[in-house]
Amino acid sequence: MDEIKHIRIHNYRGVEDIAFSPKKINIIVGPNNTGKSAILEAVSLLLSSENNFLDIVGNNVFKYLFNIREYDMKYIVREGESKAVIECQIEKTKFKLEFEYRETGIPLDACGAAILSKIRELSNIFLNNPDILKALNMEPISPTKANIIDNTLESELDRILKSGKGDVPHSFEFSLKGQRGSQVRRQKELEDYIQINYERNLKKYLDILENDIFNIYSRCPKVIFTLYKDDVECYYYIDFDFTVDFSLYTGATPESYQRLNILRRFLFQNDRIIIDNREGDTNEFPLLLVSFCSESLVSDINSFYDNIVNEKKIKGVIEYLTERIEYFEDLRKTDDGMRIILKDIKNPLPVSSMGQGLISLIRMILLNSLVSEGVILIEEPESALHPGYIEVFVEEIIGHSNNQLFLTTHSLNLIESILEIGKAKECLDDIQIIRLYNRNDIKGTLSETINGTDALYEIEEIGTDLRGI
Amino acid sequence: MKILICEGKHDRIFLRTIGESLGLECSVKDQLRDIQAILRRGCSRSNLDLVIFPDTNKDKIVSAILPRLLHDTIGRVNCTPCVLVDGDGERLGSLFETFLIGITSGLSSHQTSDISIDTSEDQLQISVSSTNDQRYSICVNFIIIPLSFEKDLVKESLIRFSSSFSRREKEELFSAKPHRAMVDIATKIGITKDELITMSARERWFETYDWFSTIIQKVS
Repeated sequence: MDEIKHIRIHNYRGVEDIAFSPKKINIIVGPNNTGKSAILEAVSLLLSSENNFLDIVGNNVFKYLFNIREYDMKYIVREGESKAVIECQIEKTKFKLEFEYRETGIPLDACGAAILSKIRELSNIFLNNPDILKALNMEPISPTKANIIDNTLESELDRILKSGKGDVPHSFEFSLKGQRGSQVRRQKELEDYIQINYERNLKKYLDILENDIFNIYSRCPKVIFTLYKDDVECYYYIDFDFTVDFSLYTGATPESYQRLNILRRFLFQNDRIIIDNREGDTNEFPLLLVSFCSESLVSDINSFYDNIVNEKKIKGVIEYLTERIEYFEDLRKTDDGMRIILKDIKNPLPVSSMGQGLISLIRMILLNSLVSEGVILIEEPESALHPGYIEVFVEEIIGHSNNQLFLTTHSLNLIESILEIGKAKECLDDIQIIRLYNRNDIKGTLSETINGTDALYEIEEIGTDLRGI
Repeated sequence: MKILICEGKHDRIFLRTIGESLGLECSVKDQLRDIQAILRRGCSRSNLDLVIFPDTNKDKIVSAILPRLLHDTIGRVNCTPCVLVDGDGERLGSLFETFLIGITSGLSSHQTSDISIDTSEDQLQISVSSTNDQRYSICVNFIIIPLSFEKDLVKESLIRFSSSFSRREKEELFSAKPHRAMVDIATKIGITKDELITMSARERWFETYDWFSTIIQKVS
């Protein structure tokens, strides 16, 4: 499989600079606020970057960061720094995801030019859409000639004059001042007026909208991701924060509902922009599965189950669960949700009615079955797991998996279990502990990597707590 | 809070008794993780004055335990560990050099960065300091018993209970392995080996020994 050979994370959130060469199983430990989750996030951002930040089951790393964890975009780059960089080497190819947070403005470089060009392209498509023209209420008016009488002309003129838009043909104005011509002539004049002003006003209005769009995109906060492959820029992903009151950028008054609504429609459809300069096969990252700490264990089981069924792996997974959990018999999806069948219990029970530990274990085993040769990132797998189940989970990830695994943990039990099972299976060389720790003297976080053999020695021989102090 | 790392069970009993006789709140921790836990929670919260960490192997103390402890604490927590080891007749300078090499290579294997190491062979001290902030410095004090605690204990026991042993018995006990001799002496005077050690600490048998004075000075 394509393994990640090297990782470097620079200025991502609180992480100043961390680099390590991952092994097959990478256990990231350390006290709170040292950057464990940030490492998982950074790796997941990089590996999912060309897939709109989605992993194979549709977990959206971006959504997770900004919607669930509610990070402020501003803090995605380390405070005081302008750019963050996540680099990795997969086999012999070097990938680099560089990103910057911009409170306002578009960069004055190739990336900025590409962004402006893309915005122009998108706004052109949008503003020339007949639906939009209709929404603008500026579709060509077909005057019902017979109904046009002097009063109508007068009120129309009044409206035009009040709105301050358009030029009123002299003859048209003249006719309204009492020199009434024939109705036919007035009608012709009105048609001409409407036609001229329609085109003129529409163009003017669309220009204003386009200008608004550029203004908003330029002035709103944004994160710009640039993906490099072997130092060549190949992909941009720009996420815009439109939660600000963008009417401030457009000059539109709150009363200009129509204009703001049209802008909102455009922004809703285009809150992120992707510019892909790659050619040919673009899927160059290993399959990725991300499992961040989640409250939604049951819904995760639901989505993992669907994917496993699609992959035709469900039989093996159920067999494994039956073998490892003595009272487990089957897992099924019904119209009423996920159901678990337990030995000696007549009716299937909702998975949600089970204890958190069992749910968590099932979720972990399903998760590990989803990818066979990819990268799995798991945040604190021990959550809610009984120590006995921790061992089941560890045996699953060490014994039945050809994935590259990155996990964060606060559990010494889990670390010991991984090392002991690794020793029994003679694969300690595939295990590595990345130990993060804060140093008050440098006001930052440093890391120490410990290979499986040394880690086991430290735990067994000198009773070290590898989670650190 | 002082951390005293020593070799083995006998030193542990001795040091604990000394600490208690000085009115110190003492605790023996057999796992480094227990000391890490105290440091993690904050020394002041532990209400301990002295933590004794016994290990059976001098080389392991110097090349594994001390570097791990120093790596985990430098730049974060200031502690002053003392290490009580037997010299086993080795020259002090040579022992000290071995300690320095062990600590330096141990810290290097932990990828400990931004530190400087200073030594004072006269004082038997190795200081590890942060190069970024001089306030963070850890000074390891070595207390070396020239031969071994057990040998000194056998010697002092035979002096104090001289009348209980014949000359031949004394000669045999002197030349026997110290661990064996301690048991035999204790049996002869009707106590256990551990009680013998405790007695030696309570009655301050080693008051005239340099190593004992240093212990008192460092833990007080």
